[in-house]
Amino acid sequence: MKPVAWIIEKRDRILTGAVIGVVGVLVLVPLGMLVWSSLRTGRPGFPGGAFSLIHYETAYSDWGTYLTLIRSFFFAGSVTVIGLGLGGLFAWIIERTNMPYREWAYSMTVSTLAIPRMLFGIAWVLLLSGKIGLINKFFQYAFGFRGFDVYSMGGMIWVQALIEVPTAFLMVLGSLRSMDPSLEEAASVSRSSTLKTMRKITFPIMTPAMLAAAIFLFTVNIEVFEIPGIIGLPAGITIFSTAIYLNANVLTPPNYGLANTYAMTFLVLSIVLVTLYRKGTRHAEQYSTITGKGFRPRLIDLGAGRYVAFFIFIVFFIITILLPMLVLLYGSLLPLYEVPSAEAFTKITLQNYVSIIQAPWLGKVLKNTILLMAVAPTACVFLAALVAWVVHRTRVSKKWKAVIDVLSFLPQATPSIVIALCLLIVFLYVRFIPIYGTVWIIALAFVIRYLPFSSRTIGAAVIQIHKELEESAQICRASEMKSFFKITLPLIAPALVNVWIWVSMQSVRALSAALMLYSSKNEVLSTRIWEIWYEGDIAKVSALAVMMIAVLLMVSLIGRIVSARMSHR
Amino acid sequence: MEERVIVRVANLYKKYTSREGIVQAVKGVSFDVKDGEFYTLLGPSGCGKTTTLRCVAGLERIDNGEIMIGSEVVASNHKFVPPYKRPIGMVFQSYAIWPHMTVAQNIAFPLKNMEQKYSTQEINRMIQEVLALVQLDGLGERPAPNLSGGQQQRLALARALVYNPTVLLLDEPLSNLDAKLREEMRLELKGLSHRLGITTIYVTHDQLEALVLSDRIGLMCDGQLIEEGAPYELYMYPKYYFTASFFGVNNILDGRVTQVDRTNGMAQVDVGLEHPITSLIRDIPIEIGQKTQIAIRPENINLDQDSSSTTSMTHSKENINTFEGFVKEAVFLGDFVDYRVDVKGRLFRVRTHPDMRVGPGTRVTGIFASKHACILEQPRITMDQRPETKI
Repeated sequence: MKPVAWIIEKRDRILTGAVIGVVGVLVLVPLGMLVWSSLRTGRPGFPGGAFSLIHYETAYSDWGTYLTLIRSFFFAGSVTVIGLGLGGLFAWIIERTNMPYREWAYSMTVSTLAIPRMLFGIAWVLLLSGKIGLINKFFQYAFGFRGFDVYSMGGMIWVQALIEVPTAFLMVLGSLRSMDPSLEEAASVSRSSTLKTMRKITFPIMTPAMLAAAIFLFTVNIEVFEIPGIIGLPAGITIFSTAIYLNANVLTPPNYGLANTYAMTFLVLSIVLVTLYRKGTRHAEQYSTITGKGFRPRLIDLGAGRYVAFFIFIVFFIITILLPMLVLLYGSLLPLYEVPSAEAFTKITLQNYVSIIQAPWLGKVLKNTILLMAVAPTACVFLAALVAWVVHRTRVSKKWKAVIDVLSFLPQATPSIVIALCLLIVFLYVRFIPIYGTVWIIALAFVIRYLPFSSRTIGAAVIQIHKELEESAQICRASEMKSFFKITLPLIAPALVNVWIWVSMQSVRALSAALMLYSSKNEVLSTRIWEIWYEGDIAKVSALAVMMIAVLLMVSLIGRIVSARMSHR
Repeated sequence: MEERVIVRVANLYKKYTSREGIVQAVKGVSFDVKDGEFYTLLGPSGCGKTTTLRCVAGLERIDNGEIMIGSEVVASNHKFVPPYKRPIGMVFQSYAIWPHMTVAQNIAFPLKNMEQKYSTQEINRMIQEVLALVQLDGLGERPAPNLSGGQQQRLALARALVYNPTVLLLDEPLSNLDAKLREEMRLELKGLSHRLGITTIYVTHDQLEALVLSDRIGLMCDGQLIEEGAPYELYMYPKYYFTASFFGVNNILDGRVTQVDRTNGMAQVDVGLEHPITSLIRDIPIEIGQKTQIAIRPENINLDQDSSSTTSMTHSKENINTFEGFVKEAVFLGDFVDYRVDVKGRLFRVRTHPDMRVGPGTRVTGIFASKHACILEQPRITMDQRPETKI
């Protein structure tokens, strides 16, 4: 057989092999490196060192480790409970009661997702810090005492819980909507009161979905970095993610051994949680309450209570959107940040914006950020599309498909900061690929981290496309690959665009991986904001924050228009 | 003159793995389709007919056997020609119209993939011609999803025909249309296939479609080809139990051969009635004492109220069979009356012209000709696979 013919004949297998190879290297090499170097003495990237359990001994003979562990659990647990409580309440009010302006309440709650966590944290420091917090100043002025200092465990939990409300809200709303209303109606007809129906019917049916949502939120919050970094670090409260950052990046020389050990513990914990979540959701499917019926259940009349409910949403709007935005805007317009006063308002100026635009670092930072925003999602979407093609559209055996499936899901269970640490170690050794200290290594971290989301979303879109559409292209003289690229890809284009935008937005917003991997050469917007924040230039940070939010809003708006245009239905 | 065989499927085997385990979908199917023939694979769902068609198309790889199209082996144990290199056109059950293209773009797609390169003018001319052929003139610029169900069907047909394939494959193309449109399209498809004279393999579970459209039908069940033949032959003179029970409604009686008269070509079969049934012998091996089954169609039985006259009339002639019983149920269905006649506890289905109406309880005599009593070969199909009989 001629080589060309051989390649055509074996193309499926060659491509599958390549995809397995690439995904395998991307996922397994960094994780393997982490395990390996957590078991070695000596600095990574330098000769010498031997196998030893010394890092584990050091870490686990220190009470500090256990305190960090307890703090992480307490933080994530509290955030989950408060977030799910508030989000669940919101979902129930919007979905099941006759509160006025439910549509507005819905879009408002969801739109808080657009504000980057780090900026939200900064805004809340400006509002609630013991020294300069506007709310505290106001309390002192009005009542003669200070309220509450955000630089505390309680403050971290408060801010992070507010951030998680929309996510929890969407998850609970989803399961409330998919619940068959006739189950509740049947209870009402059986002479059960509204409250009793909720207690005996609604809650028990919702339990598996709520548990799954709780595990999901817990998984997110045990790895979250932004709020613990902005609020926890200055307050001296470290949790797992910030402990890894401190040991690998802040200490000189870095204590990679300890960071690795923490990362290992973190990784094991995450894998357990994600496995639990997948088990939980699989279980929830058995309870599946989805019916095709489109009618909504009877709305519960809250009476005068509906105005109280609406008031809750107004308060939420004020504390999650209005106040943070106003305080950032206000801060950005002052030459030097100060508490509002008649005098302060006379100083209002656009000088901060001007100085940012004229700043010597702006060009480099913007270039890096734009590169990151473009390269990470493009690579991620491309790889995810290949994974989806191999898993759903080739004749590769089930066994290999399962391998790809597990490989492409593993990063879901790997916290961003762990992935960043892994890459750090890998490229300390692998010098022949000179991406250490460039924007590419940050892009790589995001590609790996968001591959699970991308491949799952694109895979779901591919499944939606009837297989006969591709088969008919093959009958019409197009090869398998040509069929996929000419027929299926254009049809799933809206999903591709959505995933691209999502990954792109995450690449700008997510702080931890960029922070672990940046140096003076590969600064991006998020790390620059972090730097200026810790230099203490509040006014400039506020201006940057306002600009970043504006840009993000624009990108997501453009994305929405593009994907709506591409949609054929 | 022997007509040229265009498609030859020989001893085809195909299994696939599903959640329940390995399913042997096609078990040794063989058939030939001749030049210009309209050949239908007919059978209940899950009988392997679609899998067989997909093997011919190259959308499935075969486990064993051989498939030839024209003079080329396209699939064997050593060889696999991918679908895009086989000289075929295909219409799918879902039509598989590409929704991101216009009507003309859908049709142009295969033309642009051909080895032979066409100029833009040529492509446009071919599109116009084929659109006229399927009566979609002037709709070329319409986005494909904006077509109605029937129009999408025509478009799928146009796309399959535009590059003049040697063989046209149709996978239940009419099953997504509503009843009225289906009847219309059925006639149109028949007209089109006659005009073009293209070799066609058609897959359906609808016996009426198969009877109307086909030159020849291959009846499939449980991964096997049970019986082949022209529609009239299969319907009137089935060889096997499955064939007899699949088409329309049939009275099928178990019995034993008591007498074989080779000179007159007649056999007597005792089915436990008063008289043995006299049946015309066809090319089926038959011996005295052999267990057998007899199939009699309800519309081939005449009913007579006056029992005395008919007995005298019929038994003088050897080729007329009779039975006596009483009407248990009579249902008027418009174009015929459907009776259930109780003959010593056994129920016979009988259909008569609506002129003849007899109420329940009436004593009647059923009369049918020997050529209408079909001796069936030993059942190859077990009873639990008996298809639902439909009226």
